[in-house]
Amino acid sequence: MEGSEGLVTAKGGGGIGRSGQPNPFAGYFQKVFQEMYAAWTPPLGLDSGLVARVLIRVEKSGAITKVSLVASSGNRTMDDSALAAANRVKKLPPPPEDLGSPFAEIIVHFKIQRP
Amino acid sequence: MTLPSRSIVRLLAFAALALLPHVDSLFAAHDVEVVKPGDVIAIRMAAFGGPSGAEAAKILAADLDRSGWFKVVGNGGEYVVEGSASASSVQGKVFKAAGAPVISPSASGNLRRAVHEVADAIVEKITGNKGIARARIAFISDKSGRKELYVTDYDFHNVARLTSDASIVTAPAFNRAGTKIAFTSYRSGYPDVYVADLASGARRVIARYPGLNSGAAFSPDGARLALTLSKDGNPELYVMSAAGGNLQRLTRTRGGESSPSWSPDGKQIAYSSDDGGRPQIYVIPAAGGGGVRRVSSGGYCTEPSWSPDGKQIAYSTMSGGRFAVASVAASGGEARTLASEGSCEDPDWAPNSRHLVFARTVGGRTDLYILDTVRKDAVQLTKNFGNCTQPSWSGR
Repeated sequence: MEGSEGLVTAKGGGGIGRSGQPNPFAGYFQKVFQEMYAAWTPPLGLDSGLVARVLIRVEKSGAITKVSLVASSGNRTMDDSALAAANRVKKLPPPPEDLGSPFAEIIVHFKIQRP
Repeated sequence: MTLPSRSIVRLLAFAALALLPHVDSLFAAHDVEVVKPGDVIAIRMAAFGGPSGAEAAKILAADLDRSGWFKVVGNGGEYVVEGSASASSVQGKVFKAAGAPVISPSASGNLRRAVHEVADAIVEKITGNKGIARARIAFISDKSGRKELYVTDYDFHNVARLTSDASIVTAPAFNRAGTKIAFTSYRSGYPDVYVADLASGARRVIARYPGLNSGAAFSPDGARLALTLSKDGNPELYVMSAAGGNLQRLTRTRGGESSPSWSPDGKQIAYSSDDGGRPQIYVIPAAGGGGVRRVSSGGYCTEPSWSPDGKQIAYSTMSGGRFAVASVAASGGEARTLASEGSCEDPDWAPNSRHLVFARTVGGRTDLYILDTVRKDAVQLTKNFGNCTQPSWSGR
């Protein structure tokens, strides 16, 4: 089990789902990743391994209409930085039709990992 | 501040479409993972006592910053360092928050070297990575009007000239222990390979065969040298005892082989050869025999340096008349460019396999730079010291 609020998700890698088939949404998730990555400034001096999970709701237009913390990292500064990043993005490319209707919901896992 | 270009990017997880029984609309949450290295570890320098405390604190702060793992801050910080220093010794204590000391390193001798030792102890304890502050760099400079061999600390202090051959000295290579440097000198009128002992200052000729003797590199255990000799015709790669003799020929080609660099386990050697036309980087078993494989993939590639962790081979690559420093996985694959501003060549991996020293030519002047391949910034090492080239780290 991964995620929260009873949502079941399966983790693959590199856009390949558990079935071994290419994830049809990999291109879109890559764009989400790029926007969130660019928007996020991790706080200074926090322990490696902290993860804050933020749910975003993406409308058909690509507008982000909801941002909420679904799993705290246990560190307020870290959580705030993740929420700030998601709020900063505001708009994504319109999601693929099949990703969700009437809107798509994505949990962004912001994770600090020291090199 | 963490910029995307300086950070490790990982896009790890995507969700397969998953529906829950109680959700009637057609949506489900998907996962996107965004991983950043955070920033460097914030560390605060508390007051250093003792007659040389201020100087030691300054050197230590520079070392920690240059390590790439730390950011020295004025307030707060995950770790706090305090200590004291005299002219010939330093004691440090590193605390995390309000806890007991994490480490209490001390060292004595030359103050700068002692502080470097303390810095490396802190880096190694807190990050688990090898420090490079104790490492030294051998290089060639034409400062005197001739190309001579020099050695410097990694921060361009304690610079010493080791040769006064008044001819051409080239291709220095430290042994791992940092006690000896192999180099080529034309002092006799011909290129011969010498080994200098740093403690005694003595040097002796190791290879003086007819023709070219050049580019010697110590094996990781220091017992052998790989080098280029042309005694049998054209330049070929050989391995010999570091004490001299016991020659074993590794290559037999029509082209020229040069610039050997050992794998950290001593079992393989990367080198440059133009046997296939333009120079490329190859890997050959150090024990000889077949099994040569090419790891670079086109263009003009020379001067390989095998990283001490065994993962990467950095090299110089030329296009459009300029050199750039690139790196490729030791197993082969796609190369990545690491430094290309001006003309960049002669890379050598630091003992931590994170930093690289290389020579950069800008406006007709060549200086050494140290590149942090994680932060992706290069710091100029040599300044106003003639043209500095062919750097080689100790300790790797």
